[in-house]
Amino acid sequence: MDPVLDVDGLSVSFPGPRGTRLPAVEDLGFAVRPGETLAIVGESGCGKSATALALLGLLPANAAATARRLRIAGTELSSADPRSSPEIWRRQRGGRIAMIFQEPLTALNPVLTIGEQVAEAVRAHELVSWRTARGRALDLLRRVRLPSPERCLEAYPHQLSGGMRQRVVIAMALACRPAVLVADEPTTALDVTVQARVLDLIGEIQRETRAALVLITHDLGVVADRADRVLVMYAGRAVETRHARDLFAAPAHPYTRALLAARPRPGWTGPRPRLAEIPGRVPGLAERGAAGCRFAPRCASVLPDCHTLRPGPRPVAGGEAACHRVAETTEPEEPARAACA
Amino acid sequence: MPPAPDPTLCDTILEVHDLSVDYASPHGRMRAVDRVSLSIRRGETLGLVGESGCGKSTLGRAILRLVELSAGTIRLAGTDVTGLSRAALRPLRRSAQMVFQDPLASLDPRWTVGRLVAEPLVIHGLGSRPERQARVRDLLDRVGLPAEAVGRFPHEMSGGQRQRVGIARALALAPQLLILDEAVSALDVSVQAQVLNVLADLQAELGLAYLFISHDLAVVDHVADRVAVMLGGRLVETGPRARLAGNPLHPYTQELLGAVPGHRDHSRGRQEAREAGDDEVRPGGEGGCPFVPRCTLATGQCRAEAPPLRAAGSGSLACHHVALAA
Amino acid sequence: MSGSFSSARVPLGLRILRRPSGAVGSVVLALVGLAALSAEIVRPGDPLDMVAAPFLWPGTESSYPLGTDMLGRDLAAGLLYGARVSLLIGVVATAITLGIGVGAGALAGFYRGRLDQALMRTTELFQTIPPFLFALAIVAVLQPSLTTITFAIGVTAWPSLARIVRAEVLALRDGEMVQAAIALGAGDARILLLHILPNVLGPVLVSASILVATAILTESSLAFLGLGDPNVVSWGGMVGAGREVLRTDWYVAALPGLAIVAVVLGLNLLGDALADALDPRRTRR
Repeated sequence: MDPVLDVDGLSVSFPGPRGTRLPAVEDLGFAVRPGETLAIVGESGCGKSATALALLGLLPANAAATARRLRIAGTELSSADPRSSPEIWRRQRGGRIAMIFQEPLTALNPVLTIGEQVAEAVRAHELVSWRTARGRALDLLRRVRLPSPERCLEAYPHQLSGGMRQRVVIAMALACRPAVLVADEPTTALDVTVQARVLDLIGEIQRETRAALVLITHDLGVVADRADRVLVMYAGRAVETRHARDLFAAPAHPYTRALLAARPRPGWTGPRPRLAEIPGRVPGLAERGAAGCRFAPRCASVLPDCHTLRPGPRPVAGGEAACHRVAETTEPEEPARAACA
Repeated sequence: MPPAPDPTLCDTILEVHDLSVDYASPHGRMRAVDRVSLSIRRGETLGLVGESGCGKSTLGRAILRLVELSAGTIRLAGTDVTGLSRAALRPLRRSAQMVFQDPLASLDPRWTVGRLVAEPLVIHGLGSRPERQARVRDLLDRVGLPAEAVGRFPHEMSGGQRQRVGIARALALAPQLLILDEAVSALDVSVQAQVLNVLADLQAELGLAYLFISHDLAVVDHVADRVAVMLGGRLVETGPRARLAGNPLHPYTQELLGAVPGHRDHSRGRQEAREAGDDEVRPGGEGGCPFVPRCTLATGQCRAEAPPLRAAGSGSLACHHVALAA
Repeated sequence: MSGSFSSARVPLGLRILRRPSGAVGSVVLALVGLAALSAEIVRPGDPLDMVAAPFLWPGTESSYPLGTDMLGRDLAAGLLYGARVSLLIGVVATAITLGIGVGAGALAGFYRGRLDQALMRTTELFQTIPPFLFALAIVAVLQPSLTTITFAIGVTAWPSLARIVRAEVLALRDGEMVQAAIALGAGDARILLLHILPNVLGPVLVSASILVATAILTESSLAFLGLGDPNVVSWGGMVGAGREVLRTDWYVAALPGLAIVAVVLGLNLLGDALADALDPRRTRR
């Protein structure tokens, strides 16, 4: 099946001191098919949220985004700057691609009722009467399994619990039957038990609507449970793009390995295991050189090449990884392209 | 909790008995902590888990008398601190300290790291100025911060470094008990690993006891010797960490464990996606078990009376339907 | 983020001067301050003395560039000496206001309970009476003099400041910073003086610049109404005196009026720049 979201060479930069541009996302590529879940995972500052915003054309005004290819549900958008052609982007947003935000309380307007906001989301893309929109809103609230949806229509955001608010945000994202859902840390603000149910709900909706899901998260556990494929980002670049099962079975990139080893694992026995640390810290936007692998200064298996040559994506089981170590066993490829197949 | 045979038991650093905390709210008085009893031995880590609003943070603060108590007693290092005035409490502050979740909020933004870490020493009049400076350098070194950090401000550091400052500051008075309130929850995985390792090293070197408060069962399971599960202001289950992780008994503990991402038991089959309202608990003071709104086992008895926390063997459990084997 | 380091340590003064409003405000105030300091050198003698023919228009006589008023007093000398009175009253009255306002607000916010109730009822009582009328009544009863005018302005302006300080202190009081200090065993004085007050300094400084402007305006208004200190020149008094000849010789009232406008504008600009410079979200940039 053809991918419904196809991205190649996506870069996002922010203005730095004295007219320089600081790279937040560099040369990122991925594709998601209908019904598939791609998790973009990484730590703070890796560029995952900037990627999400770029897909929706929602980056702040001082950011610049470029892409060789950005195709959403068959429409090519790589040349469409959200500022110069806002109408094209507005139709994409909510229509073909929709966002589920992290913090439902700030994503909802506190002075409008839930019904008004969901109906507004319906009317933003369809010429229907308020009455019809309201009926659709009620359907959507049923769909996200809010208890007594009729009463919720009249409620204000602060009257709902965090889990219920996040369901409302999901209902709004679904208002116009998007082909691609982008969820930016959708459950980080929720308790684990609520998180599990909200993720169940998203999965269920995805199965019904065949929507592609881009799940942005820092939580490797959520990735293991929910993702079909995983893109691991480090300091603005993709380091590994794999099928989830392959990634967790045998992570190829040293960063992925280190990240997995740093997680506490329940159910240990014997003496308390020590967590693996990654020495140093993620380089800030201004400290990112163009040459070499960004992870090289912290890498446990660094090679001399790593500091000077930027590793391109090399094929590994179920995907690819951008690491010189991986290249040892395979033919070297043309460097500096991080697109996925 | 094992029934304490003797209150003078010298290896118990903290003993909390029937502690309750009420809050005044627009809807009247709310019970945030409801008759909680627990104890921590020297050098031991007790993990306290529960969802937001369950009262775990309030309990942590109540132990340090940062919020007003409604009932119950707290014994810290063998001394009853329940009725002490703030002035009388001061010398005892040296034995128990707290690390807060957000160092940006708990560290004065106008102070340098050196001054922040030295403040507890100044308050308690410990050491001369050069001695304090040496102690600050030693503390920074212990938590893995470079000596240059003394001249920096909290906002100039990364999240992990800032939390190390919070830990160094709490350690300055050489406490025997550290209350860690969501101390690693805001940190990235790799930074969290660094801080958890620092905490483990400090415990091994200094024989510290930890009350590790967190919503993250995976982290609690990693650090704790024993775990206490809190819901709606009450403890619903306690026990050794391996038993709780391997064989949770209370329906809430089971739900909590089943929801830990990455450790879902797929073989049990996925639950029907349920309606929201899924974070409801029965408020304290209404009577009945706090888990009633969500529990599949709930009966009339559960609604009518709260199950008492019954001790058996090395743990305890508050449920009408499940019994803890001795 | 990496960018946050750079400007955080730029001293406050420089951060103010970098902003256009701060630069203009500072220059205006510096000029007024210079005028006040140089009064005796530039125009020795009593500014209330008659020195030339009355109603000399500005620019007609080179030794009296700003002309003279209806009594032949030198307007330039009046403006210079008036600057002293205005600044003196502005600064001293504001100091009184700060003392009462910050003290009452901090204690009310920190201790809450009955002390808070009592202090807040008092501020409400004060706020039911318009501050200017209140000051007017005090000066009328006590007889106008530099001291009574300053006192009257100082003790009537504090309630709004006390409310600002109380709100800030209340927010910090329940924050983790104070909880952490209590957990360390810090006493009230240490928490209040070393942790809370330095962190409410920002809003207080901003209000202070506005308070100085208000005090100068209040003094001018009192003097205009004839309740100024008869033994010193003040800008308000000069405007009041010029009122009677406004149709024919408007410059007598306009020149001191312009001086008041300049100082008040300068203080407001400075207050704006101060608020900007102290806003942490802006200093990161």
